Amino acid sequence: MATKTEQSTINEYSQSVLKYIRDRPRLRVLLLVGPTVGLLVAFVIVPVLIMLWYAFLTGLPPADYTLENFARIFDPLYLGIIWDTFLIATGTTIFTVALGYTLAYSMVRFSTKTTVLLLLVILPFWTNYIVRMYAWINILQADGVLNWALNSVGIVEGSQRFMFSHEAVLVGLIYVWLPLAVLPFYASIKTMDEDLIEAAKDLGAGPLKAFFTVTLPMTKNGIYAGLILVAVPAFGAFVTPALLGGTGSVMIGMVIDNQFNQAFNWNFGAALGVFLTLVVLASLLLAVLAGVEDKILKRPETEGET
Amino acid sequence: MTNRRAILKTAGVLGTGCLAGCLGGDSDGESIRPVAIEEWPPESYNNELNTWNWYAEWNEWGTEAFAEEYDLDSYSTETYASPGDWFTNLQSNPENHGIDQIGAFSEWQYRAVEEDLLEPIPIDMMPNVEIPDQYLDVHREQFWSDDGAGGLYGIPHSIVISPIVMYNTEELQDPGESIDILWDEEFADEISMIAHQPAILCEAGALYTGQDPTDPDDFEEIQEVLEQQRDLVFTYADDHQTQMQLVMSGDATLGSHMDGRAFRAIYNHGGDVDWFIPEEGATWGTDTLVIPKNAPNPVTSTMYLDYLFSDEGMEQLIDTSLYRPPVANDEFTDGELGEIIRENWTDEWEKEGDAEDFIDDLVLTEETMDNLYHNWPRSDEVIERYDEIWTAVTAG
Repeated sequence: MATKTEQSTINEYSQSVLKYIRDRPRLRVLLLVGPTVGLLVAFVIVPVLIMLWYAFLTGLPPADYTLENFARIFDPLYLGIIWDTFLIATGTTIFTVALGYTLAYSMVRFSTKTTVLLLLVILPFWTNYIVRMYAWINILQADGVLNWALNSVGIVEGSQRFMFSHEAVLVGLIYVWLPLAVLPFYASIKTMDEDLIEAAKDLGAGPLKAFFTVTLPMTKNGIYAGLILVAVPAFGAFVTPALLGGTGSVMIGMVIDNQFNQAFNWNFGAALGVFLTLVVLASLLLAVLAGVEDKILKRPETEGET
Repeated sequence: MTNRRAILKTAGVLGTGCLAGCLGGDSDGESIRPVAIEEWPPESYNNELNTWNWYAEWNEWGTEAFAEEYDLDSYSTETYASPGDWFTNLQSNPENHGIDQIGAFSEWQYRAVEEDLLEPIPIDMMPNVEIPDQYLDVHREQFWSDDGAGGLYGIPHSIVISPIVMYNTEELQDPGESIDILWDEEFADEISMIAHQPAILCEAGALYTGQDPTDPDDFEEIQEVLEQQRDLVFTYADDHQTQMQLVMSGDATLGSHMDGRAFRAIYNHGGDVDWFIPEEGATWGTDTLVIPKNAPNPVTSTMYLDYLFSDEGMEQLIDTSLYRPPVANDEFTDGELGEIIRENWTDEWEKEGDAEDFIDDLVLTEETMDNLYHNWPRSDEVIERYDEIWTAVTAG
């Protein structure tokens, strides 16, 4: 056990260390942000750079440099797949945002059991992704739950094929990313000042006008966050389309997976990966620019007055 | 001041150590390569074993039984999602991967050999490994170590035929024997093709057009017929299990697959399923066991590999996976293995159907083998073109 003298020495030493850090803002920032930046560099930047390096090689290193892997991306076959991927990802994003926003809005405005509902929303995250996909297979397959339910109420007769289609992929992707979209929507709606809606109604706005002129603009940051959280992973999806998709449901993520795990063309896979990363970064940049531009244009009318 | 005598002493010790290392060093289980094993069973081995194998049940039984018999201190079994997992692991940690043995197959084994990631295995001195020439010759030809040490890079433990035609017997009674049925318009929207890898889909196209599936002359023709077939196909199954379920449930009246999965559908699940090798031919390949370079326990791994080839190991392989072990036909029909299958079939193994039917399925006659192509080697061009065709067809 430390004596009083030892204890005070330790305290003095701690104080001097703290003072040393306090007096050096740059060191403070480095200590606070450094570990996070280090992790990002080690687990994001470095792997991306390695992928970039592989994309310019003819084979596994050591190998010659080439641009052929990037040239191959512009083959109509791969451009077609990228376009299809874009369509599926866009569809997923639109439906997920619409459903997610409705769900979040209902939770905030019309429910007192918000905590329970939020728990139910994030519950699927505690289940393995593959297991959830196989659950959907059990629901959608010919002798699955959906067919049984529709037959029971007489909507359809006999076995309908829901699996192996674009629609099945869409349902799977929406299901996977819906919770991720709901959380930012919920946060932005929850923190919104409700008095603004009341004020709009007092000024003669109906429910719809109040929603479109007040609620939606006030929660747009949450919507942007949700959009990004859904669109980015949906664009790179490969497990869901592989398990639920049919002919013509190939997404670019599946092609990349195939290059690494079957065709053993890691260089082309890396080039496709780099391309995908660039597309995602460009999209994010556009979103940021749109936000920035919005801020720039949204100058208060009193600007310049003192 | 430096002590000259101390320097000389140190140099002497280091020199002796290096010389001992070059001459093979002390013959303990930790430091010698499998091909350097001089006697069987090896005099010394490590008490640890770490294995990766996607024949999970067989491997779990094997490691547990082996660990008990040889009094191992610790052992571990892992499986993997795709062969790229173990390959990447060896490639990125060539000296510290910590893996003693891996379940692989020819294609990835070849890639690992090319990257110098595997150890040759002294197959000729392993008493339990008795593989008939009809299966082993091809391996000796392609995977014999040429570094002067001798030994085989990977030992085949299962013989797999693909693409076979698998069909639901409730939906289809008389399929004939031709692969043409996979292009029959009568079955439009009732066909599912296994397409978890480019080769298995393209091989079907090659056989349909009368070409060698491992070295076709006309890739355009293969793509053309597969694109024609696409209108009849309702899905390209991405994994073995899905394809098996589709045919068993009748969602798919018929499709392509691998014989081992047909065995599982019939004898494990009692499915209304049957299968045939197309008269146009098919390919045969092997699932293998490999020992990585710098395995921490190479001698123990070699002993374990031999253990898996014991009579009990082969019985367990059949019980747990229903894949075909590489043994002589008369071992199935008149030998001890056949007797074990018949004895255990219903009560012990709780299999469906008739043991004799399964034994018939396991037998690969010379006539059948003559109609099969070994699925390896394939040129880089074939791999790349098959990949392009697969992408074009499945994305269509």
